[in-house]
Formats: sequence, structure tokens, C-alpha cells
Amino acid sequence: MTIPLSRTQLALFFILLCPVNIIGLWWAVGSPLVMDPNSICRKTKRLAGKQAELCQTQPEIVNEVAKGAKLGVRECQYQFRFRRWNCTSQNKYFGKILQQDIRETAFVYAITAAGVTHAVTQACSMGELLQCGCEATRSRGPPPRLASMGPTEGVKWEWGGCGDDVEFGYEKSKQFMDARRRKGKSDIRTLIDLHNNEAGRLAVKNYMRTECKCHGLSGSCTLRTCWKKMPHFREVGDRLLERFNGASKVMGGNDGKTLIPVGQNIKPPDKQDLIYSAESPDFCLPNRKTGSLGTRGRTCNSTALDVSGCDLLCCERGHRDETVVLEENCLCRFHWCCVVQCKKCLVRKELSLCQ
Amino acid sequence: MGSLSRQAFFQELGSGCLLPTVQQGLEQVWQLLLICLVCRLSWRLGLPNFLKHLSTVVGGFYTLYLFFELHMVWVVLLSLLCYLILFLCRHSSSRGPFLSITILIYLLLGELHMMDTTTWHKMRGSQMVVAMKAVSLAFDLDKGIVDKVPSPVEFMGYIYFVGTVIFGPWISFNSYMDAVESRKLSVSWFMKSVISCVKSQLCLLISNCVAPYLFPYFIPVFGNKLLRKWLQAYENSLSFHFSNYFVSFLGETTTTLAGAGFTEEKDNLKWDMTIAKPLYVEFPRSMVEVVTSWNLPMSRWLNTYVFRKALRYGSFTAIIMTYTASALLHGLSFHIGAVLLTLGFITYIEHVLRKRLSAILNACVLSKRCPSDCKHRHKKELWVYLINGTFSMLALLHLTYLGSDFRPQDGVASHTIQKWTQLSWTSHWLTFALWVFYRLIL
Repeated sequence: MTIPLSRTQLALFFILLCPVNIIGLWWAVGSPLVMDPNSICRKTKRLAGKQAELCQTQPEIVNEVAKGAKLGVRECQYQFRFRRWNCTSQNKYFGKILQQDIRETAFVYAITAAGVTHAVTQACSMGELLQCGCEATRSRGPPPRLASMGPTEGVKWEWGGCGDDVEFGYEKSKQFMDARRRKGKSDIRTLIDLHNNEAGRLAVKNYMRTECKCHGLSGSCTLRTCWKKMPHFREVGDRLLERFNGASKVMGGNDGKTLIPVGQNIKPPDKQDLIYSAESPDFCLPNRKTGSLGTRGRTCNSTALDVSGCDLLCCERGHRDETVVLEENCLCRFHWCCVVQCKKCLVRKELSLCQ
Repeated sequence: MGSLSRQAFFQELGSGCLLPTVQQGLEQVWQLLLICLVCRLSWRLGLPNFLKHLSTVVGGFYTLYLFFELHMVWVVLLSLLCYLILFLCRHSSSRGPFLSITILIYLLLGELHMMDTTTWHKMRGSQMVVAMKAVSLAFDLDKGIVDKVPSPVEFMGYIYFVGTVIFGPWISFNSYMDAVESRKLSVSWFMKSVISCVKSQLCLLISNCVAPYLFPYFIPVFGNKLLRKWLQAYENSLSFHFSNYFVSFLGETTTTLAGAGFTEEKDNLKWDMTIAKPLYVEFPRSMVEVVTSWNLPMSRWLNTYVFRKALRYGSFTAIIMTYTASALLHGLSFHIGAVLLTLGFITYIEHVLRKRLSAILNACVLSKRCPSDCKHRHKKELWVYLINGTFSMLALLHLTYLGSDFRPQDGVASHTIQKWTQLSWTSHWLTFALWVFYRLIL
């Protein structure tokens, strides 16, 4: 059996971000065990040509790419925290998810591309990357989209200065995430992956906000100072989850280069929609083949009727109630400058766990 | 921003706010400053007065176009209308009142019918300056301070004087004619221009980058839910204040650069134009002091052309009419009108209360600082300072309350009401309480 290289590539990418012996990136945040992002370049020998080039010439950008990927995974885990599949990034099972063309795979690709775009763009604004400068020095005028969205007479004064340069982040995300898949391969999986990566990037790029402050006699808007700001990454996650819920199933066209929606009377997916080609498993029971960890032992909400409720989450296998005692921070105080100190309190919690 | 660590916050502030703000601040006004300078230099060439007036009209038109593009026609229409009225009434002795009513009608029509809110609010600063200039000229003609109706080019030169056409301030016609005579270039003139420009950029930075994040990043005060509302209101208020100072210092810069804004006594020339006194507003003695220190030329204008003329109807009526005139000049914006009228009541009640306390206690507790030779018996006792200190704290509270609803984009009526409700209508209730107290000690 030949393993598709694109899948292995991305799986390796995530594996390197998460040491094998640590369960989930959740615990690894801030841990000294988190690998140096630069080690990605040394240990992943099968990096595509463009990626290798970036590793050699712009290692600090790769650093931001790694941060962006982590950001994407954390957001994925947040957005799926109440679902049967909850984006646990254990090495083997997560890799299996990435080897399929299900909805969940689409979300992971999109949120990762969005995370990379967001992190690189933010690094630009904070002056951490010398390759990019103020957007104003490249294109002083407002983006056409902004002009068409706002009142035309205000455009002249609405934009200037050094806001978030999303174009740079967008380009770097594209170079790194899409690298291998551009080398002539046009099989259906490649097309789907490229599409979902793009959807993730657009979820950041198309939703830049402008914040302005008015200055003039007694607060009139004779003169304004404005900034372009990226949407908060939580907003990006929420938006992509909506698209996950409304994802379109596609199949390959006869020419081998296009994707066709499956089903009658379905609108073709646009650039921002997520797409998939295979149905998801139910994720109820552990299944090595499908990458499903099952839901046994998951915490559920015994009073909810949505996906986090015990009936749905536990696949109607039932649940048991348990009482645990936890330590939590409480009575936190700020001390000048700049420390917050907290006491420890014991808290009793009632949990419902899937059978 | 709350989730960022302090170090990360300050790092992001520098590159994400300080730099873009300065860049945008200069980017939008450098052409205005350049035109003011060119105008000043050309007036030094010994041109006949006709050409001097004409050059500032051209400069003024260009800067209006820079800032308002084609919407500048509304400012032009207003000035043409004013000149027409002055000319038609050139033999009358009531040009002031008649012109005032005409301008009022024009502004009301503009506000209610002629164009969309956003555009009108951009321009109302310039409209306000034009209206003030025309009204002051009309009243000065009535009183003989200006001896005859100026020629069209003189009038337009005054109205479109490039140093004051965008960011103000109002200057009198005689001040303008003095400026046309064109004083020598000097180090003190240049230093005044540069210092005012630097001050304006500093105020812009404070308005954009310091005030909105004052708590807890700059001052580590967290506060509970109630206190947090007031801290947030203070941040908004402070941001609005420094936006005003930015515009005021910018007005000082353009006016001085263009050659006006000096005083002259016995051949001693001082470039000393002052529009706002930030320290008197941020550390106020009283609301009266705040009001006059906010925009000195406008205070003088309101005092000369509204308050004194309305005094015949009683001081309370005069004060309310003054604030009403101020609100109308600012356009029919509900929240500015509401703020100004509230301010009118606050200042009036504080004034009469302190006057009464001063008489009863024979102490220096008036709204305005006593001169050193006043006849009050108690001047420097501890309780005198305590009373004045209490009124200062009250003024700070009023300022926080009134400034809290000024936002980057102008709000609507419901926002003002909502904001004041959030703060429990505190200033209104306090003012009412002080009024009751005042009636009790009459």
C-alpha cells in the first residue's frame, strides 16, 4: 500500500510539533519538551523543495509557521471540544484522520492554514520579521474590497499607516502549506487539500477589520487615524466551524482537474467553503483504521440535548456520574509590577462520563 | 487586550499603535502645514494687499478640497450666502442678528435635509469656524469696530484664511487684517510653530495609544464591576480630551505658521496663540474653568457675541442661550447638544453655589481663582482647600461622565441615554442635589 506523501507530510508536521510521549498538544504548551521549531527543518527530510528553501533562507518565518500550526491545532481542539471527534492530536490516530478526505480533515487543513496566516501576519505587525514592512509602504491606497464596502467619500482618510499586513502572511502560508501539492499533482485529494487551505486563509484575509478614531473640532471627523486589524483567531475558528457544518461533498470531474459537487441541486462550493469527498465515521468506538478514539470516558453534559449531551456524545451507550475533587486557583491578586499571585482552593465537581 | 501580558502589550503598542498613529497624523496634515508656510512666505514678498488676500483664498480652497473634496461646496455656499447678506444689509444697523438667523437656518437645513450625516459631521468643524467669523464680522460692523463692509476679496481672505479654515480657531477680522501686514520671520515664530506641532502629535499619541489602555496597563488599578465602568468612562473621556488638544495644538500650528496668532505691545511681538489649556481641564478647579479652557477663542466668541448680548434677559437665560448657541454651532448632534446643555446647568449651578458659599463663609471658594488682593477673610485655611478640592473632584467626575459617550464614530441619541443610564445619571443627580442645597442656603 502506498501512503500518499501529502498526508504523511502533514502528519509528520504535526508529529514533530507534539512529542510522541505526550498526549495532546494541550499539555505541551509552554513545556520545555516542545521541540524547537527549527528542528522541523532538520528532521523532516522529505520536505518539499519550496519548504526546504524557506528553511534555508528564512528560518524565522518557519518559526512563525510552526507557531501558526500550533495556534490552529489549539483552536481545533477548542471548537471540537464537545464533539465525538475532538481533535486530539495523538500521533497515530490523528495521522489516520489526515489520511482521509472527510469533513474533519477539511477543518484541520483550513484551520492550520488560517493559523499560519494569522501568526505570520501578527509577527509582521510586531516587527519580528524583517522581510515584511508596513503595508503602507507597499500599497498606500485602501484595498478595493474595503473601498466598495464603506462610504466612498470616507475612503481617502480611512486607511494608512502600519496595520496588519495580511498579504504577507497569506503568501507565506500559501508557500509553505501548498508547496508539495503544486508539483503537477492534480489528483482529487490534492485539489481538495488546496481548496481547504485556501478557505482557511480567506477566513482571515477577507475579514480584516478597520478601527478608526475621529479627530476634529469638537469630535467631528475632519481627520481620522485608522488601523487594519486581523479578526481575533476565535472568530476565525467560529467561522470555519460554520463552514465545517455546511461543508460540501465533491467528486472528481472527468478531466481530472476539477471538482464537482455530489448530489442534485447543490450549489457549487465557493472559495471559502470547505469540501470533502468521503463520509465521516461515527467516531463512537475506537477504530485504528479510521483514527477514531471512541467516546468512552469522555465528559458529557447530562442536561444538554446538543452534540455535547450525554445521549449523543456517548452514542446512547449511557453514562455514569462521578464526583471529583480538584484544586483551582482563587483569590488572585495583582502585585506591582507585574505578578499575579493566587491561592489554591479545593473544588468539588460532579462529572458525567460516557460508559 | 486584557489577555496579553504587560510586556507583550507594550511591545505590540509600540509597533501597532505608536508608529501608525504618528505616521498617519503627519501624513494627513503635512500638505496643510506646507501651504500655510508658503502663504506666510509669499506675504513677505511685498505683494499688494489684493494679492495677499487672493493667495490665502487659493490656499484655503485647496486645503478645503484636500480634506473634504467636493463636499467643500457647502462651506463655499455658506460663505457666499454670508457675504450676500452683509452686502444687502450694508446700510442697516442690525446685520448681526439678521446674519445669525440666516446662518442658523442654513445650518438647520443642512443638518436635516441636504446630505448624509457622515459627510456633514466631517465638515461641521469648518462650517462652525465660517459661521463664527461671519457673525463676529457682522456684529463688529454694527458696533463700528470694523468701519465698513470689507471688499469681496478681503471677506473671502478672512473666511478662507488658510491658517484657520480647517482646524480653526476663530480669529476676529481685525486680527486677520493685522496678519496681512505680515510680521517679520523670526526664531520665536518658527519655534512656536514647531513646538505646537510636536505637542499636537504627542496629544494624538496619548489619545490613541495611552488613554484607551490606561487601566490596568499604564496604571495598575483593576477595580470591581462598578469601578470598572467608571474607569472605562474615564479612559473614553481622556481619549476624547486629548483628541481635542491634538486639534487645538494643530490649529495653533497652522495659525502661527500662516502668520496670525500674535499679540503686540509697544513693538514687542509675541507669538502666543493659545487655543486650549490641557492642565486646567485635566486638573480642574471648577467646571467653569474647564469650559473656558477647552477652547479659548470660542469662549471669547461666545462671551462677546452671545452671552453679553443675552445678559439683558438675566444671567441664567444668558448662560442657557450661550450653551444653546454652542450646541447649534456644533450641528444638531443629539449627544453634543445633550452634553452642552447638561454642561450649562452644571456650570450655572456650581457658579451660583460657590458664589453663595463665598459670601456666607467669606472665603476664596469662587468658581474662578481669586486675585491676590481680594477682600475675603479666609484664603489659605485647610477647610478652604478642602472645599475647593471637593469641587475639583466633582468636576473630574462630571468630566468623566460627560466625556464617556464620545466615541471614534459619532453615536446616536440612544447611545448617549444608554451610556448615562449605565453610569446611573450620576452627574444629573449630583447637580440636582447641589441645586437643592443652594436653594436651602439662600
